[in-house]
Amino acid sequence: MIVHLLVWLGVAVELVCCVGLVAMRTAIDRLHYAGAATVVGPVLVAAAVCLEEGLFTVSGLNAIAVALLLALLGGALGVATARAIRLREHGTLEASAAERERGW
Amino acid sequence: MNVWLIAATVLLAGLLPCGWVLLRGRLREALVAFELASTVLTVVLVLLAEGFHRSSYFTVPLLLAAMSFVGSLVFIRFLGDRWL
Repeated sequence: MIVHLLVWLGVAVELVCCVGLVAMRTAIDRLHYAGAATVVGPVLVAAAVCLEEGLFTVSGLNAIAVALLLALLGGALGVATARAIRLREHGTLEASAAERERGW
Repeated sequence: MNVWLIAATVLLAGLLPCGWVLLRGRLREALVAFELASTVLTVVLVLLAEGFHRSSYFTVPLLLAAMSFVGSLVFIRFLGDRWL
């Protein structure tokens, strides 16, 4: 029962992130949903696999490895993407005068 | 059909919004959609591997997680340097 709950929770989180991708307007706003999808959903699914198969099994360890890879690399990817978007939109990573006035 | 295979099939619907943004959005938004689509596909493959009870199938999402990271980095490099 808990396994089913975790699986469907993971799927629901991923689907909410996909809907959020369409609902948001700017690329940076959409990036937040892509970042959340790399951490929350895979961890829930990996937890479900570990509960079903056991932690120290080939399936369990592989599921943990996938969740870890997605979480760590997804975070790095999010930062790199945000920098590229910022460079593309403003030409520099430095805060503009208007942004500094707002305290950014 | 077990719960894993049903969940994988349901999750495939998440690729539709990603595809929409990929096709209709600007380049930087398409890149974000591509990253989300690879994450969703990786989770789908994990669900399929568990659904088919084949531990060797877990190699596929493991490789996809690593390779999609490299692929996205290439796009980010091109996007940042305005080659795209």
